[in-house]
Formats: sequence, structure tokens, C-alpha cells
Amino acid sequence: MQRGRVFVLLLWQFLAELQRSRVKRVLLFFVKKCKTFLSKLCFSGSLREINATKEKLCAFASLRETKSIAPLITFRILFGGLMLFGALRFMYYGWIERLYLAPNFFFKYYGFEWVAPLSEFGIYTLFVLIAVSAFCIMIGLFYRIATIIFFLTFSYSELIDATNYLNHYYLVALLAFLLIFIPAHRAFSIDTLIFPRIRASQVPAWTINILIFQLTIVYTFAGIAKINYDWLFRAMPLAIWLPERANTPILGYFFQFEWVAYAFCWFGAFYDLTIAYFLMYRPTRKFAYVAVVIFHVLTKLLFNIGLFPVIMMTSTLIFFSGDAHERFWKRWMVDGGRRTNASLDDRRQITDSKRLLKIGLVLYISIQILLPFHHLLYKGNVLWTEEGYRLSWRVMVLEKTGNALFKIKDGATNRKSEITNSDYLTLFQEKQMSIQPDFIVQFAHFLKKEYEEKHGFVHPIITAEVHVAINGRPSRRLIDNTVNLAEIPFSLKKRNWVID
Amino acid sequence: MKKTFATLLIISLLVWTACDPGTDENPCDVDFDQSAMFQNYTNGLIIPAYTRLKSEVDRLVTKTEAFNNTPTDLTLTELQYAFFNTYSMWQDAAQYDFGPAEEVFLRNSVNNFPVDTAIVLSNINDGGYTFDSPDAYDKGLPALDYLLFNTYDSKIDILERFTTNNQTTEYKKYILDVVKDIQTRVNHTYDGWTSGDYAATFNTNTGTAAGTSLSLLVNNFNENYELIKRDKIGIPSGILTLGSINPTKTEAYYSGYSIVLAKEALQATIQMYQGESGLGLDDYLTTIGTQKNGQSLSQVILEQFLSAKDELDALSGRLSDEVDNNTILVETAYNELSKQLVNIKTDMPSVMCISITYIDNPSDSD
Repeated sequence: MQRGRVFVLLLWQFLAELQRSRVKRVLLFFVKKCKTFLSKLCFSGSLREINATKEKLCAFASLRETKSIAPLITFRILFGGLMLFGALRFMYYGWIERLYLAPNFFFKYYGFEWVAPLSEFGIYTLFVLIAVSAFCIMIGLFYRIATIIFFLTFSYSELIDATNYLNHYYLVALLAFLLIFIPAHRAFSIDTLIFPRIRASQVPAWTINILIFQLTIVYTFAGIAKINYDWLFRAMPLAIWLPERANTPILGYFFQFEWVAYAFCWFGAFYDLTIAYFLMYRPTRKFAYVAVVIFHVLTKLLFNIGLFPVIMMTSTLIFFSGDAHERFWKRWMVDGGRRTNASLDDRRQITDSKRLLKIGLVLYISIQILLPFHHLLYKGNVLWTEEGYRLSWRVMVLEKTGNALFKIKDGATNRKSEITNSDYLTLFQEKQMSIQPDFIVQFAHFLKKEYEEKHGFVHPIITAEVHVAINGRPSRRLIDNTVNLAEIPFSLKKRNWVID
Repeated sequence: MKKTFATLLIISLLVWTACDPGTDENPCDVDFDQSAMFQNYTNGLIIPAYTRLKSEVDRLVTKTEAFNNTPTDLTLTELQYAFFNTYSMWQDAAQYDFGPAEEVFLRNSVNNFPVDTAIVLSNINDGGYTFDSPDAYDKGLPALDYLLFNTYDSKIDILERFTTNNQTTEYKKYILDVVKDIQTRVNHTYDGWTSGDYAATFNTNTGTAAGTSLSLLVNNFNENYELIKRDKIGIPSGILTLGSINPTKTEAYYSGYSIVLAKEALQATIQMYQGESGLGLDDYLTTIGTQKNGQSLSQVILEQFLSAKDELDALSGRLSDEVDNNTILVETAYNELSKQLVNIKTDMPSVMCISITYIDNPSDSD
């Protein structure tokens, strides 16, 4: 049962739970179909095999099952520590000025247009809150409040300007959200000193499994994103990026060879696609973790990807068994390995709200599985149109540059002007805007307002010449240069004006 | 395990996001002697450009001193002539603002325009100025342009500053300080390329990483081209400002050399692109062999340069007048210059596998 099927079984089990909870009929039908599909896919159609593994399956996915709290302790402390470091690093490097104070205009996420940029005082307060709450998570002080504050403040900081979207910030937000519901403070924390009643050595298994699930999702979809022609058969964009690192000591010598880029690409794709399953499987776990360290140390050396490698290296420790973590923490664990009454209370508490919890988990898991596929709702190549690009773990699969030239004309008076993007955007914002259609629309709307208010335009017509080059190819036109962008609504609908 | 793997493969097929396969090979792996190209740039373009610039600047200093000693119509004419030759020579050198030039902020120090006349006058009035800030607009050739010329070509008014004006000494000191500042910086750059070891470093710094010679050439080529397009033509023309023209923002507004200088700058850019008669960026592109719209990218760029040159050649006299009288012509020239930008700023770096480094990621990426 462990042999790598866990992921699919877990999904199957949750679908079963969903079915049992008698959701709406249409959904029920869909769920049934999915179950049949999955069972056929994994068990050659034999439902008996499923039943045979059912016991073990329940042990993995059941909400009643408990596990040692130790992996969560490790996770909490490292996550909190890293986030504290991250926030301080952000302030120290002056990124707050460059990302939040320098721009006059901010790109928004659909549905989060209300997120307002903050003043200098406001933004520093926000980052201090992030740092303080991260610190509280680390030491386990007022943990629930700290996780809520961290999740909210961190998310807010990310929602201010969509220019700064990074997959690993999204991962941090998700992990922070999950931590709110995970009792990672019930041992080896300040909270247990203040409120000894909450002390527990066992936690519901789902609290650990959901983190495993989340990391599995990240790796798997990052791997799937790499299965494309450019990555596998042109070694792009690594064939561009590796020679740029030719100055790296020792390794740099190899980066001039094209076969090295190919080796990195194929190894990278294989790694992302399989690593989570090797980590789940006990006999391969140790070797897999060595691979994790090597892989992420390499990416850290080669690319400007900040904390992401460290986040992954520390988070994947969650795959290790409770025993392994306990051996590490035992020396300091307040209540050794004993089960306490508190932990029993804890279990009862969770059983009470089981139904709600189940729905929540099913929802969360379904969203996480489905969201990376949302580009299928649009036509065209997602790497080109960027429709459905975000929230899908497409990590480092593109080298993309663009050039956007906006022209504005007043339909009423024929007054016209070419736009100097840098008058309104930072260079980094301009670079991001030039390749992302939803930013192009937002910028056009900003220009519309600007020219209506400051120059008395009555009927602004805004067009743009946008050319984008991907992975070492010459550029192509990204959008229809005749369409009036001022009249295109900012929405998630298919953008017909983007040239496939 | 096998089955799960099969599952994953099936899922993967669903999201197969291949770009049309088989159309191109990997352009980053190109068989081209970069070092030979860099040597051509060093010996055929860069060092000759700085050598000529240096001798013009030296003459400019001499003529300034001569003029300060005896400010007459004749010495002024000679100084103005030296100024024009220097400005003209500068257009060649402007595109190599890296290495020794970057150390002394050469481009910003020599040619930040339009000059801020109020600051120049207050500098002259108050003294105590320095020319160290690369962001200041009170120095270099534009400051001389303002102090040695006026738009109605009257030498009498200029001579007045240096003969009968009650601040004659200050005026004289200021133009000398300005030319000396240019001289110091140009000499530093010239020395760096000729007697220093920069040329050797540059010639051998191969590869596509940021900071390699190829990256420096392409980035500076682009940066300079954008200055030609935007600062020399675009801003004065009013195309960027709702059609309201900005004649005073032209390069060399007071002397009126703007169009001549713009033409020379474009000519210098074309020469740089072609590496004069030796190996240049155009040859590199030809070797990569990228096609754009059914034509080689190398050729597309050259042709666009030539049609921009044609349109620019249609302009004459002072640009400050042309933007008013010949708006359409100026606009056409600007548009032709503009069209090139995608070719050299997006396509060229993309197929050469280098990144535009003057736009930096402010934080992490992933």
C-alpha cells in the first residue's frame, strides 16, 4: 500500500468520504465517476484490491488515526524560523522600498482589487507583524493567534502587487493557512508552559498527512509543468541559464556543454515527478532526502530563488516518521513519548467537528488538485498566453521577455500620445507587464483613468504593440494591436484578443 | 509504483504544453568566435572612438583656454568649432558606456541633456559646485552648448558674458571646469582601454552570462539606442506628450546641431551593429541563423536601421524648428526608430541567450 499509491489512494478515500456525506446529486455522480476512474487506473479495475487495502488506507487517511506530534514540532520551528528570517531579510535588503514604496501603481489579482497599498509606516508595520508572528510560531507562543496573524499579514503583503507573484510565496501562504488548523504547538512550545493542559504527544494523522499532501502537490505539478517540448527536447530555459552561471566554481566548467543542460532538465523533471513518492516509501526515504538536499542546494547555487530551496529542504522533513523526529527531539520533549489525557481531549474535540473538518479537507484537497489544471479552461498554450498560469507550480520553466508600447488616443478630439511606461511603472513592473495579458489590461485601465482625469480625455482609445520572446526564440506579437484595451474588462474570461 | 508512474504520465500528457516542435534548434549553442568579434570591437571601433574623442577633447580644452585668455569673435568661432567636433565624436563613443567609461559615469557626465540652465547660472553665481553626481544636468557638452551659443546665432551676446559682464571670471572658470571635467573622464576611459588591462579582459570575457563582453555590448547598444529614440527625437517631438512639442529639450538646443548629431548617432549605431567591416553583432546573428518573418533577423535589423536612417535624413536644420514645422516628418522618423526596438531589445538578446541586465529583478525569482 505504501508503494507510491498513497497519493492516489488518499484521493480515492476522500472521494469515498465525500460520497458518504451525501453531497448534492450532481456532485455525487461526478465523485462516483472519479472513483471508478481512479480505481481502474491504479488497480486494473479490481475493486477487491481496494477493499483489501481499505484497512491500511483508513489508517492513513482516517481522521481518527493519530500520529506522533514530533514531525509537526520540527515543521513548526523551522517554518517559523525561516519566515522570521525571510521577513527580516526583506526589510534588510531594502526590498520594501523597491517593491512597495517605489511604485505608484500596483497590479492586482482578480477579486483582490480592494487590497490597498500601504504607507511607509503601514508597510513596515505589516512586515514587523509578519516577523513577530513568525517568531511566535517558531517558539509556539499564542500559536493559534500567531498563525492567523501570520497568514493574514503575509497574504496581504503578497496581494498588494501581483507583479511579485512567486510560486513559493503562494506555498508559504498555503502552509500558513494549514498551520492555523494544525495543533503544532501542543508540545515543546511556550504555550504548553503557560497552558499545560494542551500538552499532547499524539495528534490526528491528518494534520501531518495534509502537509505531506501539499508538498506532494507542489513537486508533482512542478514536474508535470516540465513535461513540455522546450524543457525536454531543447533543454530550455536551462540551456540559457546554465551558461550564464559559467563562473560558478568547479561546476561552472560543465555549464558550457549543452548535454549538461539536457541532463539537468531530464533529471529535474524526473526528480520533481517522483521525489515525493520516494519520500513516502520508507526504504527509499533516506536516499530521497539526500536527493532533496542535493537538488535544492544546486538550485540555490544556480538561481536567484531566495528561500525556496531552504523551505523545501526543511518542509520535506515532514515525510520522516514520528520515530525519527522523536529521536531528535526526545532529549528536550517535555513529556517524552507518553500519551497524556490532554491528547485524548484533543482527539475528542476533533471528533466533534468531524463533519465540518471532513468537508473542509475534501474541499481543500480538491482545490489543490484541480487548480493547477485551470489553464485547461482556456485555449492556447498556457506558457504563452499566461491564462491560468499562476497558482499551478510552474516553477522555472520559462525565459521570457517582452516589449510593450502603449498608444492612447482620444476618440473625441483625436489628441494622441505614446506612453512612456517608466513614467508610471518600475522597471520590474514594466518587465512583468510586458508578458502578462492581465497586467496589460490593468495598465490600460490605469492609463484610461489617468488621461481622463489629468488630460480631459473623453473617449480614450488605448492600443498596444506587445512582442514577447520565449526560450531563445525570436519574438511574436502577443495581443491584437487594434483592440481598444480601455474597453476590455478585467476578468478571468477567455481573452480573445490574445494571439494564441 | 509502475502504475502510479503510468498515471502520472497520462496526467502529464493531458497538460502537454509543447510549442510547435521541430521549427528551430537550440540557438544558445552556436559555433562563433566571440573573442575574434571582441577584438574587432576593441581595435576597430572602441579604441579608435576614444582616441579620436580624446584628441578632440584635448583640442577643446586648448581652445577654451585660448578663448578665456583672449575672448574674441575669432577665438569663440574656433572654440565653437572644437565643441562641435567633440560633440560629433562623442556620438561614436557614447555606446560603450561600460568598463573604464562606467567607472567615471562617462555618458551621464558628458551628455546629460537638456541642460538645467537655472542650476548652471546658480553654479556660476555661487561657486562651490562639483560635477560628481551622474544625475545632474549642469555639466558636460550640454552646459557648454548653453554657455557658448544662443539660438539666434549672435556672437555678441555670447562674448558679452566673457568680456564685459560683471561675472566674466566666473563664466570663464565655469567653462574651463566643464571641459576639464570632460577631459579627466575621457582620459580615464582612454587610458583604461589603451594602457590598462581592460582591453585584454574584454577580449577574452566570452560567454552569455551577465557581465560578459557580449552582454555588455548588447545592453549598451540597446540603452544607447533608446536614448537616441526617446531623448533625441521622441521627447522633443511631443509624441510622448500629447503632441505638445518640447523644442528646448533637444540635444544641443542652443547650437542647433541636434539633427546632425542624431544622424551621426544613428550612423554610429549601425557601424557598431555591423562591427564596421569586421566581425560584429550582425555576424553573430547570422551565425545563429534565426529567421523572423521569413527573413534572417540579422537582415531584418539592418534593413530597419536603413529605413530609419532614410527618414532621419529627411530632416534638416534645427530639430527644435522641425518639430514645429515638419511634425509629420519627425513623427515618421520616430516611428521608424521605434520599430527597431523589438528587434534589438527583445529578439536579439533572446536568440543570443543573454538577458537585458539594465532591468533587474529587485528580489527573488522562481
